[in-house]
Amino acid sequence: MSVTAQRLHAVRLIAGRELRSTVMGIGIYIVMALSFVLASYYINAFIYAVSQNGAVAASSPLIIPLFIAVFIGALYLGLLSSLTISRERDQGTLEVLFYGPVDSFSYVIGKFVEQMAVFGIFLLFDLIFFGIIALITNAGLNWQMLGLLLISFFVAASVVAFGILLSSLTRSSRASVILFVAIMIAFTAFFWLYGQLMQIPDKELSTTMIYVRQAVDYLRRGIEWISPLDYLNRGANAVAAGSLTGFIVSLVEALVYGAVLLAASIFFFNRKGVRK
Amino acid sequence: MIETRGLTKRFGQLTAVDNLNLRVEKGEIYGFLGPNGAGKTTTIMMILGLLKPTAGSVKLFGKDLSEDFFGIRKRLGVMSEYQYMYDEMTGREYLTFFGRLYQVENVERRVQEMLERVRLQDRQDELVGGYSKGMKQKLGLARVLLHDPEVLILDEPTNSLDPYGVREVRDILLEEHEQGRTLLISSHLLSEIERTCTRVGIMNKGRLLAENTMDELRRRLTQEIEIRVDLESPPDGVLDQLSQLPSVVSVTPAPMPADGAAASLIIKAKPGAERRAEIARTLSNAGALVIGMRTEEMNLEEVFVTITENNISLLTEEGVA
Repeated sequence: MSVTAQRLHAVRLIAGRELRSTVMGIGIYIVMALSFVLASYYINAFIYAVSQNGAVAASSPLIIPLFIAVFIGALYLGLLSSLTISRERDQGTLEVLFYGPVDSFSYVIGKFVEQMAVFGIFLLFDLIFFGIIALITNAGLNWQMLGLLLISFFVAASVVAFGILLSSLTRSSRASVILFVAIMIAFTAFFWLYGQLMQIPDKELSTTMIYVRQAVDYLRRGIEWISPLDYLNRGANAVAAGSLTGFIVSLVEALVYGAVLLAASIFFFNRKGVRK
Repeated sequence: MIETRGLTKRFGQLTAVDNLNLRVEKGEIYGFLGPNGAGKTTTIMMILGLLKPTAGSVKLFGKDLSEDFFGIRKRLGVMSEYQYMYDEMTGREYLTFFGRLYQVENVERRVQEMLERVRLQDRQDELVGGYSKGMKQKLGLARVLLHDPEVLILDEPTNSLDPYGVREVRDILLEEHEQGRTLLISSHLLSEIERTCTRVGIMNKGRLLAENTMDELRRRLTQEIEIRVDLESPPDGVLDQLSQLPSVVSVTPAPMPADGAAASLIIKAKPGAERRAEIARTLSNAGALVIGMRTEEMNLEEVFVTITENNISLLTEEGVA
């Protein structure tokens, strides 16, 4: 049996065991329900606006609720991924697994495949849920929604890879969660502050503040390539704008980003080792 | 089967393993001993490729692990001191998962065989999280043996077991040895090591201080042996005749034994396999009727304590280290 075949065998088993464990747990269903509740709230507000005004102009009224559902799913997967390695290292089961025919590549990829399979379940339920909503509201499923579902899969891959990287860097599950949440809050806070700063007219800013804003803008350009959620934003924007080129570029970017993070995860995993 | 050459591991200023040359031959049970922090687990981790050595090399089955990573790993069965398991799985599911990972043929049947062997067949559908420490230990042993490995590396295999469990595990390990498996056992239960191991290696402060059979270690550590002889009718002058033997250091009458012997002698002699025969012959020639003779030997605990407390290396004379 070739090394590749051995690795794929280990990937399949590791992913299968993890997937079973996740599907048997309650977390995934709670998050799914939460995402549908929030999406329903938005849809309800939209229907209310239609009933009040008689008509609301929107090319794809379900795209934002779908984005909300996908965003929550991807964020949950990121959090789950940030736990995936550190929790097993914490519990000591990682070491036992590595006594056998498992190497760091098959382990990290196994974890990645499992998380993506969970996201696949998310997407399936999203499709069913929004399909029913589209039928009820007569809003209709369109290519934009399908495009968003497609790109969200690749973007979720980069979020998962980001979570796995954090997990490979930390020794305890608590540290992984804290790190993931802190980074997500930092990214969100940064983009909120950036938005506020950009809204201030130039004439109201001192020379120093103009330089600060310029520096923040450069920083934003850098963070755009680091923050996994930004890939989702860019993809969603490309879908909303109906840009096929933007869609393909976002997809490729997410793929490259995910691959780089997975390679980094394997590197750091090897450095950290498997011991508790 | 296992060979390390100049194996060294440093963690900053601390040298956990220092220039270790270890060799475990095919078919032997090698007892790997040392006090806490001696470097045993670090050595095992390096042997398994889970820790990168600072210097030196490890060969398993004559190969570097990198030469045939998956092939070599499948030929090993490894059990650590603590049993970390997937608590959400049942015992059967746990073994089936590992059976599939190792690509065991007829995995369901093999899992049943192993569950029966460790007497967990009645508890196989219970969650591992509900197992006692002893049950987990047995399940861990079943996992190790599941894929029929050639070499077993076991860290404290009888940890958490009651005396019945200890005996069960010992019997299983001896059966495996009879079937040709090679075993490397690290344990603090020195009496178990003494009963099962064909050779022992003693580590202290990262260095291998001794590596040999128990008899040879005793011989090298013992300045004189003590032989107690029970006689039915000690003839006159027998003490003098024994004292004149070149190998005998002293002969003293012992207090009257309770087993009905008329007299007992405590003979201190220089170590050597032929001593007992020499003494028995002298007593027989003197007309004494020997009804019992036993040699008081150092047990493994005494050997272990002597070597580790005094940091005595028994390898240097032989040019090993």
